[in-house]
This record gives sequence, structure tokens and C-alpha cells, in this order.
Amino acid sequence: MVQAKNQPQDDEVIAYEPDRTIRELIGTDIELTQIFTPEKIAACQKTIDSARDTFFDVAGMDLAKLEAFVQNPAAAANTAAFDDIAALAGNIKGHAELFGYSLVAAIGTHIVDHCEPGARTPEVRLRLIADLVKMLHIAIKQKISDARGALGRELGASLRKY
Amino acid sequence: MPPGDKKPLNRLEQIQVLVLDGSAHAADLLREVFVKLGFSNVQVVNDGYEGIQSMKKKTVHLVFTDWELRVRKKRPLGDDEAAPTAKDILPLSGTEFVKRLRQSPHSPNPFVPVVMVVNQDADAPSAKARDAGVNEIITKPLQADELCRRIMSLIDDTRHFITAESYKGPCRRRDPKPLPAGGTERRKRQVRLVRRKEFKSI
Repeated sequence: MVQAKNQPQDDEVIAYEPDRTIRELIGTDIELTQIFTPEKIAACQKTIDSARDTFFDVAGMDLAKLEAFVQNPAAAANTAAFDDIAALAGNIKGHAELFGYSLVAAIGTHIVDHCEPGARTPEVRLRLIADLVKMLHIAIKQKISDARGALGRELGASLRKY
Repeated sequence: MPPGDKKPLNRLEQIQVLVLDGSAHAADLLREVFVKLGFSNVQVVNDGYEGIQSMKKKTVHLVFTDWELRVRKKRPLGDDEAAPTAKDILPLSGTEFVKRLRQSPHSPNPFVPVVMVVNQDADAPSAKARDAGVNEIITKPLQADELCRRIMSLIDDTRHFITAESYKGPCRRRDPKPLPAGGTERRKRQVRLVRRKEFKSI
């Protein structure tokens, strides 16, 4: 009965009152600017900036694991290896996107895409991934954030072939 | 304790936040940022399936999700089959996760406020996120002031939650203005208002 009552009938839109749960838990007697103070926002930004500064070091650790996978010829015969490669590349990609490091994110996206089974054989996919990992190595070690500098443009152009 | 007795710093302690991000590093950073803001109950998961399961076990007041997520492809969200293996996982957009959260009959809370962080260079991400039913959208790269602005906007959001044949989510008309002279209303359908206490049983 309740279900029927809450389902839109023909040509009808049901508009529920806005959910105020968070406001009720916080209390209605306070301005949000008293909670989200400039000091707190600055501290948060500092946390983000600090993580951005160490991004290439953290990504380098995942890169080393990726390089170990693609240097192992047996990986091509192992479906689980592609899942692991996709997870590592996806990790780097998502982390890079958060900071706007578009080149690293784009290379990561290509690696993840090539991990999906498709028309190409596993051996060919692994070879393509190995090439992309080499590009990722350059981008991470040279700390290239986007495709605007000379090396970035070169990597960006190479990436379009994949 | 009456709300007036609480210290401002402790006001966010009761808010349960769920962060979804496919990248473990990004998810860890987001947790740290939320904790810095004062949200002490922050749970992090890496895919939509875990997110739904988590919401079934525990009340969540705010969902913060990435544009891209990994969900289990062989398992419809909300059923109770055996746990999937790693091979069952494939990337699925965060908008699909939000659509399922809003529209699935098994959804643990279709009304929960959702903030989505999207890629600037993706194909029309904001429109897709809005049509999926998110409340607020943040564009990468992540900035603390933008994050706080969106959270504050969401907390005092006055938009109704719309349930129609083709859409469930906050009203997409953010700034309803009167029609200009001679203008016609595109929304032909009749709107029925429902009070807050009737939420739970939808």
C-alpha cells in the first residue's frame, strides 16, 4: 500500500522534502562557516598539497611492481596477471587524476584498457602494455604532470598510437 | 545534550561518511582530508558493490564517490549470492553506481546525499553525474575550498528529492526562476509533494 502510494502514477512527479539529516545532526543553531573555518580548509589544502608533492614517489612504487609483471613472459598466459596489472595501473591513474596529472592518468587508462580481453592475443596485449609501462616510467621518473612540455608533448604524441 | 552545548569542532562527529574510490592511494587521501575537516566517522571502500554492502550494515549520511569505480559485473547490486572473485570485477562509472543507489528496489538509502568528483577532460561528466542523481559535483584536481563549498551547499540544500518515471534524485532545477513573459513550462507533469516522515518506505 505504502509502496503504491510512493510510486509516481502516470504523468506524475513526486517531490519529497529535502533530506535535512546532516543539518539536524550538526544542529540548526550554527553557521556552517563556523564549522568549515578558513583554518580548517587551509589545513586540508596542506594535506592535499603534501600528497601531491609525494605523488611521483608513491607512483614509483606501483610502477616498480608493474615493471616486474611485464618483464615476466609467463604473465601473458596468466589471466590473473592482467587483473593485477589493471589494478596497479588503475591505482596510479586514479591517484594522478586527483591532482590533475593528466599524462600519467592517460597512460594508466591505456594500460587498464589493454588488460581487458579483446581481439588481440595476450602476448600482443602484454607487449603493448610493456611499451606503455616504459612511457609511464619516463613520465613518473621525470615528474611530468601533463603533455605541455617538450617531453610531455612527445609522450602524448606517442600515446595516441596506442 | 542540546545542540547549543556542542563545541563547533565536534559537530561533524556524528556524520557517517562513505568514500568510494577505485584508487587506494586516492581513497586514503580523501579519508585524511575528511578527518582533517572534522568528520571522524569515515569509511573507505574501493568499489560500488562494497559501498552498497557497507550501507546495508551501517547508516551513512554522506556518500563521496569518484566518477569511475570498479563494481562486480556478474553480481547485481543488492542480491545475496556468493562473493565474486577478482575476475568478476570491471570498471564501471560512478554514475552507474549512483543510479543503482537511487533507483534499485534493494537500495539501502535512495535519498542519501551524494557528492561526485569528476574528471575535467571526461565526456560531459557533470551532465551525466547530474542525471544520475548526484547532489553536488566536484571537478578534479581536488581543492579543499571547493570540497568544503560543495559540502556546505549540500547540507543546506533546499531542493526537493524528485521521483519520476525516468529520474530519481535531487531536483535538477537548482535556481527555479519564474517563467519569462510568454514562456511555457516544459514540466507538464503534476507534482505531488511528500513530507519527510514518509521517506523511509519508498
